[in-house]
This record gives sequence, C-alpha cells and structure tokens, in this order.
Amino acid sequence: MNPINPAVKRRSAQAQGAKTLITVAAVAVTLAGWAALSTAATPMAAHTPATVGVVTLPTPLPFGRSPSGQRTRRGGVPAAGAPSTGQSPAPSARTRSSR
Amino acid sequence: MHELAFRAMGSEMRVLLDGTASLGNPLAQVPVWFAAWEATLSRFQPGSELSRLNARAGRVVRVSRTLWAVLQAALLAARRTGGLVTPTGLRALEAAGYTRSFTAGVGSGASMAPGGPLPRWQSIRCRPHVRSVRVPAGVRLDFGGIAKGWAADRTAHALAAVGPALVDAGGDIRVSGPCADGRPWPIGVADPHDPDRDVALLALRRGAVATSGRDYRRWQQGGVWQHHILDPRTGRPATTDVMSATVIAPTAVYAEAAAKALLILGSRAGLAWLDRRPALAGLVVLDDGQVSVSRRLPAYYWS
Repeated sequence: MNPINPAVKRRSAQAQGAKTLITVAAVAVTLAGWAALSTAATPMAAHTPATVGVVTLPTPLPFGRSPSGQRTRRGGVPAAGAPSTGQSPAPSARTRSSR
Repeated sequence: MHELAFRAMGSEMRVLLDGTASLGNPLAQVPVWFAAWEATLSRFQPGSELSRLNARAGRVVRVSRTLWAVLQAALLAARRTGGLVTPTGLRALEAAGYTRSFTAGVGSGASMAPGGPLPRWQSIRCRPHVRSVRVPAGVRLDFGGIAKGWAADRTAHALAAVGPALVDAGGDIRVSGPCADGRPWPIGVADPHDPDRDVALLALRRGAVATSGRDYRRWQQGGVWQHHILDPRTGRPATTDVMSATVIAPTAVYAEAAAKALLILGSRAGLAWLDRRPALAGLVVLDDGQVSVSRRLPAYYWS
C-alpha cells in the first residue's frame, strides 16, 4: 500500500495546472508576437524605399530666405509670391562650394 | 557684433564676433594670419613652403609647424574618408587643367593625362619628433579645401577667448559655440542651381558645416567640362549625380573632407556612408535640383 498523501495530490494538481497555464500563455505570446511581427513587417516591406538610410524629402526643408528675403522651396525654386513669414532669421552665413 | 570680410586663399572670407563690447578691433589680426597661412600653404605661389616641399619630392624635408599641422589634418581626412580625400592629387589636377588659381583664370590647355588611381596617401612619410616629411618622388601635394577648413578651425578657436565667433572660409564655416544669447547660428545652405537662394536653413550651435560642389571651380578642356574634385580611384574629376554636398561635422576640416567624399560617392552611397558616422549629418543637391538628406540632418533644422 502506498496511499497518496492528499496534500501531495493537491500540490501535484496545482503544478499540473500551472504547467498548463504556462503552456497556454507561451502559445498566446508566440501567436501574438507573430501577429505583431507580420502586421509590422508587411507595411515596412511594402513601403521601404530602395535607398534605405537616404531620406528624399517628401516635404520642403525648413527653408531659409534668399538675401532679398524671398522664401525658397526644394531645389531652390522660388515660391511664387510667397510672402516672408518672419519666422526664420536671416542667415548669419551661407555655406556653398568654395568661392 | 564685429564683422570682417576679406579675400584670402583664393576665396571670400568672413568673420563674425558676437556679443563683445568695444575692445578696439579684435578681428584686425585675422587677415594677417590668413596671409601668412596662404604664403605657406598655397600651391599657386612658387615661393610657398608647400611649393618648395613639392619641388623636393623624394627627399626628407623639415617643415614649419603650420605646414606640419595642415599635412596631419589632410592625412587624418584621408584616413577618415578611406582615401577618397587625399592631398596627393596635384599632378592629376593639373593634368585636368587646373593649373592656376581661379583669381588668375584657370586652365592651361594642358592635355588630359591618362588618369589612373592617385598615389596613396600612406606613401607620405612623417617623423613627428623632428617634424620632417618625405613626399615620394613624382608625387606633389595640394591641400585644397583642407587648408581653408583648417584656417577656419584655427581662427574660431583663437577668437573663442574673445567671444562667440563664426568663421566663414569660402563657404567652410566653423563656429566657436552658440551666439552670445545662447541661440545657435542660423546658416543657409546655398542652392548650387541658384546661389542667391538657400535650399535649407540650419541651426549650428557648435562645430562646422562645409559644402563641396561642381557648380563652381569648373572649366572646359577640349570641349568637356572639368571640375576640381578628383575621384582618387580614377584620377579624374568625379562622375557623380551630386551637384553639391553639404556636411555638418565637429570641425571644418572634417566637414570639408566628408562633403567631398559624399560628392565623390554619389547620393545613394554617399548618404549611406554619412549615416554610418554618428558625428556627421548632411544633404545633397542633385543635378536635377532634388534635395536628399541624411538621417541626422533634421536635428539641425532651424525651428
């Protein structure tokens, strides 16, 4: 006769329950991780530009003003008739290829 | 604000000194410094120390502190750019037709040399304890924009004791620190397609910014446009989609060298090269006017 102690039996059942919980949790975390990765990766892959690390400007730079005070936009093309907003100061200096 | 403009080293120089009360003229000595540096470092002056060093290629020559310092700066720039910027390209530059300063009128009608890789910068031998240099036989040195960058760095450092300073050495700009009121210096980036306009306005608190471009210092030889930025891998003016490259760096020498490397590499490889170096940020203006920026540049936008 080797009667199982009720306390041991209870601990064993608790351990089994814990194992089941851990397994369920692990599966859930894994599935959630895959889901998160796949949702994050899909748009990244779809939209990553060919030139990784190079940002081609979608919007104008914080433009300075020409000496005349006229604002410029990307490529130096003057914004036709754009008034000076007064938000940007006149540059103290301008960098350019050596003159 | 004290301001001084003058010509030196074939370029327009401008110095600003902020927030100082009247202390006489604290900038009076600056043109004197530049004149002395030019007399030492110019390849266009036959009597300059650099010309004398070039004439003695193959022999060991003791050099002045100034020439030593600029040569070390040029060699460090060569190391940092993997040899894309090297002081060993004078023969190839002259073969491409750049034989006189732009002030004197560039171009000699010299025929284009066969090209080929430039001599390696590692072939220059330096002995620091006696400040001697041996340039290999057949090699001649040109410091180009490195000398201007060095002069900007040196001047800003010297003026920092007097007040916040900005030194613009022909477009290579070094600041000693923020303006007297603590704000950054607003720096425009000129559009190479229309130099009266800016493509960006940057906020520079410390360090330097420099631009290298094909829009100026160019000439025709045999009906073909040449420019002064050599690709050391070919020994010929760089073929690139970049019209001008602008780089922010801790020093004007580094900014100048990195801008040149960026232009030589082209927009895609060049900006990737810049992104791998945490101390650098920059932008390129392409032949078609398009502007592309490195990842770190937005931190320097004026806001």
